[in-house]
Amino acid sequence: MMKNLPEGTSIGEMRASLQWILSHTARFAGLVLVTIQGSHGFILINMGKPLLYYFRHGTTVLKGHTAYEYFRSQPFIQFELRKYTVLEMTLALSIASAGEGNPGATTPGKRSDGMPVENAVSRESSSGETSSGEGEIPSTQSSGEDGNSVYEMDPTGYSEFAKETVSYAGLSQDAIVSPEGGPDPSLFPYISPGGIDEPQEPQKTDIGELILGQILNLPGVLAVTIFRRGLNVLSIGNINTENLVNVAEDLIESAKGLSFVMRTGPFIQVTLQIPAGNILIAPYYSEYVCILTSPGINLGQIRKIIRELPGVEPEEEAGDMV
Amino acid sequence: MFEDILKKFIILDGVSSVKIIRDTGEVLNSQKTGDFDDRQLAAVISFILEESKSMASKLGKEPLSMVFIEFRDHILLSAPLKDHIFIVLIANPGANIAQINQELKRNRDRLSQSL
Repeated sequence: MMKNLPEGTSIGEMRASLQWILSHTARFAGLVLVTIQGSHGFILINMGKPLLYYFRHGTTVLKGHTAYEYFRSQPFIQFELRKYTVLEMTLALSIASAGEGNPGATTPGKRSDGMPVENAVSRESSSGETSSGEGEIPSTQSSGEDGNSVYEMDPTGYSEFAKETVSYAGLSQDAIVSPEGGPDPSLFPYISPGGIDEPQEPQKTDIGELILGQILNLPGVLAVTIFRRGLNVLSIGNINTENLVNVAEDLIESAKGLSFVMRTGPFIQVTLQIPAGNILIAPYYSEYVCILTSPGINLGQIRKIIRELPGVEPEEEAGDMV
Repeated sequence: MFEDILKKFIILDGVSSVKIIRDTGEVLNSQKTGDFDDRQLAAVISFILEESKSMASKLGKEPLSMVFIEFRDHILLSAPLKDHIFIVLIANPGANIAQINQELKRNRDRLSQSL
């Protein structure tokens, strides 16, 4: 478990790019616990504002901007969301401030370039104390002999809570996200982190997450997957989506082809009915959401919610073509 | 008898077109009030059906029962009837999908047998 910092409450384990994480945590306050190639780190986030970035690989510690750039360079990050109460967030901020030796370093907020106001780089002494100063720009640093800092995590404890079931965005407690042993992240196509500094749309994101939560809470919904360009960015529920997203994307492209034949208007959704249930796919921002349901579910109810999803009419031009 | 069954669909509220299509794009029968290019439609639908079957098979070798595609101005239902032959229904967004789906389930076997 993370040393000193509040543990918080686990609400989900997922795999996504940093860009995706930052754009989907507008209502989240807590820790994003990060695992990259067996090493661990975290992002402290307060309602969409990243306050601290930290990553430790062996004796090398990355903080602030350096850690941010490292996370950003990763096409995929395995992470767990641990929600903080107001009290826990306050405590975390004060601990982080003390650890930095610079209370101002953890003031919530962002710089004009979207980066947290926390020092981009700092150096840790062998006693675990940290100092920072102007003009001091080390890109990495080594921890002291004891190897501990206020940010340090115990990988054993981490793996324990990382396996817990989740309730992200209103999920039922038995929903599970991105089981271990999934596709090797190195095999996934790279998603450009471009736009990470672009202004977020917290209200729009909030509405989308709220609606996703509604879908997940509906009786009969078994799993939800969000995917993009053959890449599964979020998978909730006990289902192997490894091969599903590629076929789903082909199906959507073919369905959109109907717009060239008929004056259909923009694509809204496609539903496949099989004896075991239904598969619904609809646009969700620049991604797609795929919902798997049991056979007896009320399709009309899901259709209504899907129509309210942000980005369900992304290709207005399609309907105007003959 | 075959056309009688198809007429059961075309009289449903909001349904504008019913077609029986072969996956080669050949239209075997068509009852319609709309104005679509049957051959183009058949070609695209064949792709969709193939990919839908492929997707269904990824989820445990399940046979595909029906595909429902919703656009802003039209909805489209399609179901395999026999090897390489399927039915396509086009309706307005306000049509009662549950009713159409029910009618499809009810008459699917009869349609398959009469092909």
